[in-house]
Amino acid sequence: MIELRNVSKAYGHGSNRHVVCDALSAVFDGSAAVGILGANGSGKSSLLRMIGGMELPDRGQIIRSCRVSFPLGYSGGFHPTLSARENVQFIARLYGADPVEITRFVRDFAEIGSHFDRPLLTYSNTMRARVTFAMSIAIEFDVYLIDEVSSVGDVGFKRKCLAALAERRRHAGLIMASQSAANVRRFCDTVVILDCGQLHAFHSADEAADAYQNRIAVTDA
Amino acid sequence: MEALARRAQMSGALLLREAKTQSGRSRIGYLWALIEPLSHVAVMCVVYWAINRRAPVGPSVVLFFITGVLPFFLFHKVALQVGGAVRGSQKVLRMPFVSPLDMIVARAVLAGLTWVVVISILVVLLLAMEVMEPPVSPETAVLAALLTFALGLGVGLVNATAMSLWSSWVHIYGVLTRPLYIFSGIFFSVDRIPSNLQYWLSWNPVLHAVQWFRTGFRSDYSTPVLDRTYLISWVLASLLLGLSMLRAARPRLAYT
Repeated sequence: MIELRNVSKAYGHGSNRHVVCDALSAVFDGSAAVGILGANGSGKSSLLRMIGGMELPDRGQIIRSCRVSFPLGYSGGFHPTLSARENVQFIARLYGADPVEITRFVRDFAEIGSHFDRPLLTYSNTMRARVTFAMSIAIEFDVYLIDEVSSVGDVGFKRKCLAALAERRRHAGLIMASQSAANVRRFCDTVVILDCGQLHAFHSADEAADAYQNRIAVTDA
Repeated sequence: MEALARRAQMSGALLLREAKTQSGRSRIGYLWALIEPLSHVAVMCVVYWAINRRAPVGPSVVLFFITGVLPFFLFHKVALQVGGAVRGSQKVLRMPFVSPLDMIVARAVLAGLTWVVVISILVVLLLAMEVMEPPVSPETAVLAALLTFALGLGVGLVNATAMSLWSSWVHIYGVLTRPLYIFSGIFFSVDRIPSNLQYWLSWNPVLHAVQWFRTGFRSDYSTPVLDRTYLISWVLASLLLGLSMLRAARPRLAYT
């Protein structure tokens, strides 16, 4: 379970001040799949980073009683001069997982051949995305965080990722941030909308998706 | 206990990563740790023989220089590595649950271990070449080295916070500590300079660290310029100040 208590977060100062969360309180069930819908710049990614522990709220508390992943595909822990193998070993150790087992998983999943032992800075974007994504699902977490599922590289690999994620989903929860109601609907039982620093809950995912579409239609008009 | 084990695990993972990234991709990366202090000693020897003076203290000039350069390097490297721990690793500090202190511990231990390897190699070499006799009081040298390490850690902790909140501090610290190399009695004997100059130099804690370290190597070396309590006070005060600063600035460090 992940609980947000009176969480506030804003960026910038004065007229540039942009509020992401305004005294936001919420509880995420660790086993559910929750979608967070929000327009560009509404602060979905920041909220996800705070839930993952990469960023601190300005005020309030986030209480996690389970192991939360870093956002899928997040590359903050990767060092450009180290090889994928060395980076993967580091992150496995950081999370107290078995480096040998995790390395084998990532190597087999990413399928980048001999590049696996070359420095990350020599990689193409696709190769890097393959490694960071494989890393994100290699470790068994209780809750996985996903920021915009479409960010995962090429089409064939994306299909493989979604299958792997569905497999993990059987034993773990999911929190997914997206701009697209269709994406969120495919994966999530519950959908909330992040708008003006507040989360809005709905009875069903369909209802939330409809409300979100209407809201976009209104702002576009 | 469990929390402590978890922190050790974090620091261990960071230490291995630092060891790989700091040495760079070059094959002789690790060798630099040995080459750098040796090059300092070599330059001093050349200058010394060029002006053809008698050894400042005792029969072995090389030993005198080595026992001066090495404690200075221990302090300097630990303070530098720990000082850059927060500023130089913003990205990895954003990984969930990696705290600045984990990185500081990792870097301090790595710098300390590197130094232990360097001094062990040098002592074995010098003993084999019969340039020096076995240290008369190894335990004194070890204690002095531990306190020098702790001083580097304390000063480094202060720097770690100061540098990440105030970017000019890097340059100010550099300017302030540049003269330390000259004023720490590395290449001259502080016992042989005028007493009013001795008084001013005795404010420098690194001087006492160097003096203390040397007493472990020679039985006939006694010096009026060694205030052990003064060095220990510096160690405690800098650690206390550094840890308090780190705690006070914590929300602003890793997440900016």
